[in-house]
Amino acid sequence: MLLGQRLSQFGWHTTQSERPLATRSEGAQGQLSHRRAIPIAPYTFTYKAFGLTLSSALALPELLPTTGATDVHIYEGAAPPALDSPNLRKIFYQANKNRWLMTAEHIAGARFLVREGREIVVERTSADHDDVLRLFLLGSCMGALLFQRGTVPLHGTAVATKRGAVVIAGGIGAGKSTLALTLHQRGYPILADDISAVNRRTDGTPVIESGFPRLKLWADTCRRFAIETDDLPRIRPELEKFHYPLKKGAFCAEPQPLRAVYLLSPTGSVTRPAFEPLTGVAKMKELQAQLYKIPFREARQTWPRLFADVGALARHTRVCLVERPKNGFLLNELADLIEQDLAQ
Amino acid sequence: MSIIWLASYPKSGNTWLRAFLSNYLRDGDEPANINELEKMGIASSHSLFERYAGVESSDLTADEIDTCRPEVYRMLAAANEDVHFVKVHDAYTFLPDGRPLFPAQATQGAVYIARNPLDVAVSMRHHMNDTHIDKTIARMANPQATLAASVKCGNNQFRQKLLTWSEHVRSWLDASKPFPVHLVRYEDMQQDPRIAFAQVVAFAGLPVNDVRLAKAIRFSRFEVLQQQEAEQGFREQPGNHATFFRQGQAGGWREVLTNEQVTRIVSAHRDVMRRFGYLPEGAGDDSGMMNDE
Repeated sequence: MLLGQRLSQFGWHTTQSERPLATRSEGAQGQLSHRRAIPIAPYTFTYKAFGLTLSSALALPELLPTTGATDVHIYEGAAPPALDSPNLRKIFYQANKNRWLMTAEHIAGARFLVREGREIVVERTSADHDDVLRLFLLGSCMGALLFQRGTVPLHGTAVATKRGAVVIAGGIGAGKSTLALTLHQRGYPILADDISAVNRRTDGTPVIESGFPRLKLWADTCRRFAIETDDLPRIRPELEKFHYPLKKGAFCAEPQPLRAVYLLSPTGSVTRPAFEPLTGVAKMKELQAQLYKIPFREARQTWPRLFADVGALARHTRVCLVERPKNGFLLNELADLIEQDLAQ
Repeated sequence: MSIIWLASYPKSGNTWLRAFLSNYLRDGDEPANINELEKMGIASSHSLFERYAGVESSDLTADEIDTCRPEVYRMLAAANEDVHFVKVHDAYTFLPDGRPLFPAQATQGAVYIARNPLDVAVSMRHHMNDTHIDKTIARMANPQATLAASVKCGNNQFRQKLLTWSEHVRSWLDASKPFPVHLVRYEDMQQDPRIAFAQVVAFAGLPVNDVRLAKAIRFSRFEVLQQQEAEQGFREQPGNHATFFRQGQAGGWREVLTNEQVTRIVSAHRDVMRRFGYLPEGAGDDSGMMNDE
């Protein structure tokens, strides 16, 4: 095992017997083209994210480099155009419990097969979409990987506080990143952007795993915080959205116990931010609705234990609905209220 | 079941019609909540798109989103058991590969709501927070005009191509469609709501019940919508300081627009305005009218 670990750092893969899951899955699919159980691509890069060590044949400069035993292999190989009998089907992906296939040839120039929570196979179909390829790899594929591993990925940005991780969740345009950035400017390191992955310790305490040391920010958010965008890489050349790298100290690279989830909701009916701690069914339902990019009802059919996992999460976590006025963000007031709420 | 598109240029009575339909379908003892109209569906909603596409829509360009939209609507139609009304402000357009944005397979029909562009201009200026109404008038004459084009924090809709006001109307009403389109004028909804709304109900294939109809019209009166907005706000209100339900009148333009502005709107949209009886007195009997003969 040790030798295998060391070899993988030097770009060698581990032996077949050490990766039985991947081997078995080849047989299950029954397609000759995917029989290549052990990728031969050299794993040039080793990163850490979500508590996992990722050995990757692709450079993923958004991630933190690390060393150590590999949990997940990312390599170029063959991904089928379709799964045999998916029980979940969307425009861009299809999935069953252990396989998740993303077909994004036209947009990302690739198909992605996420298997058994252990590997992500990337088959390139054209070479011109590397930015999007990485966006999909680090977004949807990573979310699928976490679901397969039994981790609960929430759609939200997390900051680390002395009292534990705080997740800012909410719908599209609710202002998750903007509020997280406001808290960040008050000195709280960012723990995760977009995917807040929840694992549980043996005593049941939920923890948020550390994600990537960057925030994805729209140009108007950068303007609001006087962040100069001239030198920031765009997430794609076509979009006014930037990778904002988090330097050492600005990013928390260790998992943190989950303290609270704040669900941000812009509403016309309030003129001041309003906090409503949720309990019972409402709390459960709201947490279910925060799963990363998949409706709970559908996710549960594919990964049945999610119901119990989210239930356990609800029991251990404070969840607050935070209504903010639609006209005017009142960021500092919101951040004050969150700090007060945390101090309780 | 297939979708019935509720299509209109912005500020033309779409929300009013949706409020009416919500109340009619709901048949409750008090007015439906204006913040729950979205359950009827909004074609340009990011969350609807993501539900069926399965990727983060903010990682995609507006054109890429458009290429997926026909499939999103097919999946939406396939997923629904009941009649399903979906609000649309896009013009009826085609993708570069020739597919229509709104696929016939997903569609039962469309209700198109038209409103006098003179009134639309006044209302839209407030809605878009335009600094001057001339900007709104230019917007309505611009073939490249879009809604929600600037992707930014706080935007829960994606880009919609509007074309010019006239092209918008024509795109839905003129070219032959593989599905039926029912025209309703805002002014008719106002003047004789019982007839206008009953026709929409019948077009949708729903039973027309006079008691329900009267109640739904009462529950969706402008004052009721306005009061609800004042009390609890309106989710679909754009993120500026204007109120969504502002005046709800026909002919309000007379107090706002200068003669010169009226002339500009009329000369940009004369043909379509004439068709709907929207030409103001004095503008109808000029050369434009003669050319038509």
